[in-house]
Amino acid sequence: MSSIRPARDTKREFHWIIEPSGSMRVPGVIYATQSIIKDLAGTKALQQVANVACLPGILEGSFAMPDIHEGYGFPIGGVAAVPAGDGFITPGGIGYDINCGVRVLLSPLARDQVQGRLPRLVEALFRKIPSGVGKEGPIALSPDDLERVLVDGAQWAVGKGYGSREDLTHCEEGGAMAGADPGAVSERALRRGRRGVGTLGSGNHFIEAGAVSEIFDYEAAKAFGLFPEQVVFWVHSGSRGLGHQVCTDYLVTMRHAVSKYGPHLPDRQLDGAPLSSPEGRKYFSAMAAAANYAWANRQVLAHYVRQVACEVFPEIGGEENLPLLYDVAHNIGKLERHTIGGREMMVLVHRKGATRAFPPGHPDIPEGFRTVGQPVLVPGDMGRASYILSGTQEAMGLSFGSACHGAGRAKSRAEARRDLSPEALQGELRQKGIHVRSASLKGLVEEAPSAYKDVDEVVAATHGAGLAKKVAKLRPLAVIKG
Amino acid sequence: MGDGRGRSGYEYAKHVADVRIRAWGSGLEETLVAVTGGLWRYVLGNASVPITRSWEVSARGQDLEDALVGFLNEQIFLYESEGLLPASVKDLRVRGEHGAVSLRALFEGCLSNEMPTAPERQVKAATFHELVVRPELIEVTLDV
Repeated sequence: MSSIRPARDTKREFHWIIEPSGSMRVPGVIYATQSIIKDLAGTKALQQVANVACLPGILEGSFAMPDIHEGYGFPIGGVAAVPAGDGFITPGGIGYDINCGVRVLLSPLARDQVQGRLPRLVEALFRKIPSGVGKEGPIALSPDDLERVLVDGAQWAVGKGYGSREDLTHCEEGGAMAGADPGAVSERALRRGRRGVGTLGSGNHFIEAGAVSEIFDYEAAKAFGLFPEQVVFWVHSGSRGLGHQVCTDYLVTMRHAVSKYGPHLPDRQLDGAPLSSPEGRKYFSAMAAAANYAWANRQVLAHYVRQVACEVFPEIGGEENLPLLYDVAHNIGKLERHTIGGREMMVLVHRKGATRAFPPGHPDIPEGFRTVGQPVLVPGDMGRASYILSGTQEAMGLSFGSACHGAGRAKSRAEARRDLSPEALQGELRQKGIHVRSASLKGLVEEAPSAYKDVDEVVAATHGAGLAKKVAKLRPLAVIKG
Repeated sequence: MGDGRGRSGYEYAKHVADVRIRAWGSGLEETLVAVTGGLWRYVLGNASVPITRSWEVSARGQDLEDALVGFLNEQIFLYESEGLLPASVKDLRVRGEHGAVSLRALFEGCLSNEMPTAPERQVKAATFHELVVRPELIEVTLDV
């Protein structure tokens, strides 16, 4: 891999290039501040950007968002597009937690209306929502229901009374991706999926109540339904064991396929097949089914959050007064139309820890947002801040319409545990007025704010690079961690 | 499945987002037992697992790398689908046959609902990322 350098052909401060060398087919393009780049030294993240650039069919560049950090196969924050026909689809570009994503529910309440009841909120959310390792949910899906979940996604959940039809128009893909085929999902994956809908999981998954602390773009904030001091609820989860098993199964398939269709890739975790091949088509169908499972999961989790919020804050006046702002996927492969070299074409965009960020006027975003662009939801960490951004036209040319998905980890889990005790973390958060519950104290400390990059800097780079525009900043008030 | 710095053992190497196990032993079988220990120590922490049952785990691949990743993922699958948590692994056998490699071992342990405490962490899968498999050294990245 050649060394990274600032882009010469642009005045942009946040634009870094790794020139193609060896078997790289395109350059690596990283959007970041100088200090983010510096902090990547000693990790494999930049090498992973270069490895992705070797994918057969990759178009324009191997892109990395400002929350880039070391992953496996792709870096986290990686984006790669290939032609929808003979370009390679790779499970390693989507990850194990297929359609891990985040949604935000808006409330009519302001911060000072909820402050005294936050401890009760945290306890009630923790009791209601199954979270932590191995926790099963109250929903035991019959084989027929599981098949419907895989095809209909969030639409299945709404049909069962979890939320309303309006929610669906505020999910990417309407909460159900086309092309899903339950027949492409193994019996093993189905077994892992029977009790996962309505569960949060562990690791970095969370439910959070936050409040708008600053508005940067009043027009977009108004279109999104945001106002100063407003309380909102974040839900972060994915496709649980079912998605993990789909990825595991298809990496084995791709191991055999790659020797049939393509050259040797620098990391076996990148193994894939042309999207148009039987293996590629089957994986896409299974991946879409797992993505739909994740949308059903977040739809049910949002329903639980609404129930709890209405119990603790009856002045909300009903679950319909907690509308869904938007639901975004950040581990997914999507078929999208993009213009490359002046020609519009259908491409498959892998986003591994990256959020779609479509611009004003794009037909795939809800009508109410067409003047301002898609809401781009960027959870930071549980102690500092999160952001809501809007998609830009510029991003379509810079990153296939993609932006950051979070703050991005800066420290390993072991370092996080070594640097801070659970008690010290809880004290630190208490001092800031942030109420936290977690199924695991060890898990909680691994997710400490200091384990993450500073989201202010990540968002400044995202905004400065033109990937998405700042709309509002939010502060955490109450968090439950898996 | 103990850790330590003796003839066989494991440690967790630095990885920002996930977990990388470095395991060693005096031969392949011993190293495979060590990496299994590293997986379950990460999930269970220091909790001791009572032995109430035994089961067999097997995996097959076109080479040793495939077989190893399959072997670890089979253990994760059995935990998530059946609740099987291992306390020990024995009689681990590696066999090469007809252009394929198979791993087979006997596990002893309990069901997750027989544990006095809940597991501490989740592992989604063992990955092929920068996988190292040699008789005396295995390095594997887990997605967590």
